[in-house]
Amino acid sequence: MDVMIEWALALFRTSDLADLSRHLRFETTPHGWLGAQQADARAAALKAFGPPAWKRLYFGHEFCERRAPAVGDVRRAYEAASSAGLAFSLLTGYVTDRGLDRLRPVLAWLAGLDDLRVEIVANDWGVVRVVTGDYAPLRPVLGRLMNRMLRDPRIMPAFVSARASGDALAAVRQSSISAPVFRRLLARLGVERVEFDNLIQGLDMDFAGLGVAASVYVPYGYVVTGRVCAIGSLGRPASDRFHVGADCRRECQRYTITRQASASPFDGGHREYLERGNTCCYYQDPSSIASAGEMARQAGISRVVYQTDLPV
Amino acid sequence: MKILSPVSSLDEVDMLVESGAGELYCGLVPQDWTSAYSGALWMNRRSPAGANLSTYEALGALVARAHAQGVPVFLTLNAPVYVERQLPYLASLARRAVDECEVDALIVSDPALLLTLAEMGLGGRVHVSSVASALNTEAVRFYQDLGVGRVILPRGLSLPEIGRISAGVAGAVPLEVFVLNDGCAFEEGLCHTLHHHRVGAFCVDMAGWRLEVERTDGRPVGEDESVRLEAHFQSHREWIWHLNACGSTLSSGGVPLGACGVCAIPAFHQFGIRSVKIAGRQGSPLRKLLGLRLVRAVLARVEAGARPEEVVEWAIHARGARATCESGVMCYYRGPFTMEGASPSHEAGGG
Repeated sequence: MDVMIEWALALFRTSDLADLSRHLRFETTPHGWLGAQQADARAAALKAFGPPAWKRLYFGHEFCERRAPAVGDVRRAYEAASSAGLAFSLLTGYVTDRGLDRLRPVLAWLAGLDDLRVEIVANDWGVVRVVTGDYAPLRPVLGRLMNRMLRDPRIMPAFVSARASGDALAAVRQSSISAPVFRRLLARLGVERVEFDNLIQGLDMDFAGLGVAASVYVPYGYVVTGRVCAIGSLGRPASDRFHVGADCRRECQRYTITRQASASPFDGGHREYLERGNTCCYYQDPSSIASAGEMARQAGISRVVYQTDLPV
Repeated sequence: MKILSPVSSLDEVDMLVESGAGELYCGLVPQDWTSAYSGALWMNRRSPAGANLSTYEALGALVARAHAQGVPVFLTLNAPVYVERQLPYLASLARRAVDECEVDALIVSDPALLLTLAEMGLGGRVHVSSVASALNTEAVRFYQDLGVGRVILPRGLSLPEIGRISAGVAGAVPLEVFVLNDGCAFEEGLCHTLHHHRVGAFCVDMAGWRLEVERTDGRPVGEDESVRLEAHFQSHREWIWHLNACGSTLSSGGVPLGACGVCAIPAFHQFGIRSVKIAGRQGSPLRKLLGLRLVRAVLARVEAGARPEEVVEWAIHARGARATCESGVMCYYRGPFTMEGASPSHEAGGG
């Protein structure tokens, strides 16, 4: 399969926009161990996907509606992308009605640009419905949260061991996209692109044959996310911790937590999870990114979405 | 408003119906599925062992028993995702469940299965699972557009948010909400792992893992800060423990402890919620019974016209764990539970 792979840069904070050109040259580095991971991941990504052919900027937030950018932030991001010669994709998350209220003016502003290259990466069927119903010029993309595939590094050895069922492994390497009935729905909704994390078990789908474009996110995938933000309760009275209505002071932007699961019952291995705010991610090590490059060519994946930091 | 109770065997049906279950739901996992997928890939959100029936005959007998008492039975087919090769099997299972076993509805989250069932003329029998994460009015309408018969709202919504969705759909599609047991620390539909018996639930498991904290600004974590963080993580572990049935303990009032939303029943009644769901197909018959009795007793007070404050006070008393209740640590939905506090105009704030 010979599909040209384009690169997209994903940024999640307005403050990152000032450094866009440095991000595009891979010159920014997070503090601490994430920095070391990034150095490895960038080298692996360059090897796997070739020199970055940056075509697009992803900006926004997939995991927390409170972090969703307002119109002014999106305008800055769009202008920064345009100045760099990049098309623009707005990342959106799973949202309540309040989140939709906040998203509508952003969608209205983007729709008013009349820029047919603008994409809305939707991670919620409500967002898909709003985009296709009320802001038809905008192109919805089915985000990675919409692919409900298993992606827990603890569990995957259960599927890839010699004793594991081949049927089970085959199933966890595909998603609903494999079903024609689902692709017909996507076609009706105008969804032409679907997105995936770089899964440990890999993907076994021929996207060209399926008639949809596909993206893969590196070097972070997410395992779990939810509306209750654990670190967001730091310092709160006991009765005000761990609920969806807790006020947010952006504690997620202050700490990164690494959790280490030891001695897997499946293969004895250790697994590391990176937690920020309401989301736990896994890091794709260089061998996993190398596999993604190979998988991209085999499966006909046409875009790699590179994250220079955790997506929270 | 109906109470939807879990059931996992024929023997439980009479007990649950007599105790107030207006609807029942169960799972069916035939042995050939388990053989094909080695028990690692579940057909629905519960392990094949313990929580599910394994034969159509058992399902048919259970449904017949419930129908004889006027109670409908719903079947869970709510794995987060199914792939093309699984759909013919599941379509056949659904057809047999409806036609032969006379199941009344199918609880589904995967859109490909939902669409497949709709093409079979079963769309109206689909109840959209909480695993589908319908967190807003437009998402509910999305499923309504597909012709489903009911939408189950996720646990991760506040009361005002549920109120707003309910007002938004205005009864066009019936809504169901959780009221007891099995809390989720994350959004259920966005938790991409398994409650595999060899590793356990991710949220429970993670509480025991070694952790390190790093500041994103590159400064070292201070000594006091470290102490504060460790106390916080301990508090988080305790919250997870409470969500997960408090170690399967009972309160002094003899009621199973764990995630709970009974204080929200007055608000659900006002919102026009069709059904309140008790989770826990895997629970013992006694646990199912005690939980159902609690929910039934609270609902009876609501239907008799008790004021919300009175209902909440009674529920806390009946729970027999006042301090835990008042801490909010077991609550799906935090208060206030008065009509004013639960109204959509009082949506949870954010930063």
